[in-house]
Amino acid sequence: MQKECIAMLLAGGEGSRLGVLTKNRAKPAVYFGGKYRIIDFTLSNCVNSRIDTVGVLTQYQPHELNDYIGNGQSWDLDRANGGIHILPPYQRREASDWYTGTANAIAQNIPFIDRYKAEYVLILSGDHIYKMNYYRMLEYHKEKGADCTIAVIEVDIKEASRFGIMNTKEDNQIYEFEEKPKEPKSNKASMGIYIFCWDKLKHYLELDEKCDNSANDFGKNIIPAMLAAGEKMYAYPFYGYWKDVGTVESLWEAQMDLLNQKENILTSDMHWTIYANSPVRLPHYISSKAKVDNCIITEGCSISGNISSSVIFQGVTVEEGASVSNSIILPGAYIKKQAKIQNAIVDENTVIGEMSCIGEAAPENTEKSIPLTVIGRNVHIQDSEAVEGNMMVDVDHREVIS
Amino acid sequence: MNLNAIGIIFSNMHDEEMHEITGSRTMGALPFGGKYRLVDFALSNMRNSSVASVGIVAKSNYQSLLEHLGSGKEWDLARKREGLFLFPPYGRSSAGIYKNKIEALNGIMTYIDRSRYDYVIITDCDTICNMDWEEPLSFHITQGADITVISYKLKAEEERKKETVYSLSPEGLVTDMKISQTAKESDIIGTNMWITGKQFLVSMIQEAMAYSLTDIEKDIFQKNLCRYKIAAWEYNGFLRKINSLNDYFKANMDILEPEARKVLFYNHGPVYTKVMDEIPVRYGHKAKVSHSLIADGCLIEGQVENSILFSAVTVEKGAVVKDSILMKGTYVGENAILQYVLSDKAVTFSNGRMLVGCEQQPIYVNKGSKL
Repeated sequence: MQKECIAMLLAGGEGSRLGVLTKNRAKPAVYFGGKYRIIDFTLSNCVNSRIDTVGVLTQYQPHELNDYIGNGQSWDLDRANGGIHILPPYQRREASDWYTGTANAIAQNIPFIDRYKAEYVLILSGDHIYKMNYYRMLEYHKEKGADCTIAVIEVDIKEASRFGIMNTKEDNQIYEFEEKPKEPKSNKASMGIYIFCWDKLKHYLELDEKCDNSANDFGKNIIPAMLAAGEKMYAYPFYGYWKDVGTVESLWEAQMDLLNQKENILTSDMHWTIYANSPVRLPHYISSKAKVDNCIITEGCSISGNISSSVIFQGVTVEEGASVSNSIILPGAYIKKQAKIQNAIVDENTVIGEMSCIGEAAPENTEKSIPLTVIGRNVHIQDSEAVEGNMMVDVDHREVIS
Repeated sequence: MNLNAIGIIFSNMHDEEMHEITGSRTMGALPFGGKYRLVDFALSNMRNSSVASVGIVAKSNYQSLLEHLGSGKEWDLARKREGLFLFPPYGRSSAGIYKNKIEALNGIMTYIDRSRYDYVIITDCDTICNMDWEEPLSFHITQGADITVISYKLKAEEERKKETVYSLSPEGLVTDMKISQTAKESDIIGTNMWITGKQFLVSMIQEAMAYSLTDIEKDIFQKNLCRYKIAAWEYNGFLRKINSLNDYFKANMDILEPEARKVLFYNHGPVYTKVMDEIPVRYGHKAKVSHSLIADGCLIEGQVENSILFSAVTVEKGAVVKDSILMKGTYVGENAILQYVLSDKAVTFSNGRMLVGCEQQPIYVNKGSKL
């Protein structure tokens, strides 16, 4: 039963900035890259890093995520000892609460971690796209004799004030943590990936639970408390592709990165396979009427229109004369004749009517941001209907993306 | 509710007839349609018809088949009770490895005898179709037949060699059968799929062993047309028999038609296969693709027309692939030209290489070749 290191994946956040895309699904279950969901990257990282016990903490809209994870077989996480465990909040004798913060979610599951007699706990969040060897990070953590190791990535110093910044000594020991500093002293941004020695973390979680005005958050409470107490905390520098996909814009951008050979995370480190729970579909069919230019298309699609600079998920139909550019089309969408889609994310099982026009072209002034359009799940766009840029369309209402 | 029958699939029959591509694998493991293997059709039909227990008989070259099947979970046949049973050769010191179907069935007699179902469905892997076994089984039961063979009436322009041709009575009973015939339009041919009762099969095989019979069709069915009640149930959907390299090539090309795909892959239920975790297909700026099926993991920078690409095929810039079937991991170098080529797994065509076959005689390239 004993496990050296187990992973706890925080999957309960609402992801409200993704709008209709997270209306009925938790953020980790949001689609990415043609056949994946965001959580596939963290789960595959775990398995590829030889971590075979993962607790997934769910709270917000968990059904789709639960269905998707199933028994974990797709990631080889259906294990007799360990494997994947979904951990929603549960009723206890003394109290029953929702998870009030990231630290509270772990605190409520102390018995789960104790059951595995884990020495180390890896804390992950399910909203980033990256390939990382956690096993190496664990080796680093042991080498340094650290109590806590935080993975960091060097960001552009101009952007640093958007992140939680780690200020470190030469040997990467963290002496200060600043959440979104106005004048950043370093460009080492926290990736939200922590390894703790479990006895230490447990101690600080218990302290934090006793503190009434705590937000029960790793970044706001646990990390500062440990630093203040002088625990040994190290930054683990990560070099590679890493993208937060918490907003519509970043989710779209990260998928456009896949179209660029150099930045395609799927083709870098090919042996580091990203696993997904995909249904069996036929190879996709490209008809004699179709044009495909710089795009990603996956199984089960039937393409007769023009696709350029786009990512097309399973089972999408694009009829003759329709065109899709700079867009992301999620599973089962049906795009009818002569429809035109640009700079958009079109969610699952939508129908885009004939001659309709979704989204608008990018502004010529490249300084300006691209107006993105999002069409929510099951929406039916009528024939000849137009949906302009910066719009978010749901089954029952529309709003402008702020 | 489970169907009242167990399934038995022979994975090896007809290997000799297409030795080129079955040299290193059994017929059942033959790749088809961009990502499937022939055994997937037989297995998925059984799964979709709620057959709870399926035995697969493999004789030789079965490594890739075993790898493909695993525990049977992809077909929902990884069960505690029943599920998938694999029967590689089981040589007893006295008997040795079986030489024919009769001996093979005799070898798995315990499996058949212990079954809690009343009927047995038996098929080879050379016929692909999407069929509900429930219909022929109820036909078998209402006819009170000893044996029901699944037959297929050849459509216009279909001509086939070495087929078993049946003559039928108006009630659908087999009155005559001729083996190894050239069959033409509206001839009724056999499909190597049949149904029989469990008890009947047990005694039939015991008797055949007692008389050292070797061929089910010739020595049992054909010689006992008067003694046994052999019925024929006609399958009239999309069906292809694969007995030669040309059959194989043509059957693959046939599914480029959307209508054929619809009936073969979705008709009575989906066709299941092993999931490969390949990344989605990437098309480059110069890619030109027309009337083709492309499986995940491919990278297309060149031109592909009227072709089927299995997973992880690379077509480099300036390369042209026409009327071809390229199996997993084929690499087509820059400016290479291929037409009517059937390349086996992991073949490399160097830059500028040109290979042109013709419709009647596609060029087959061996597994792992470097040209």
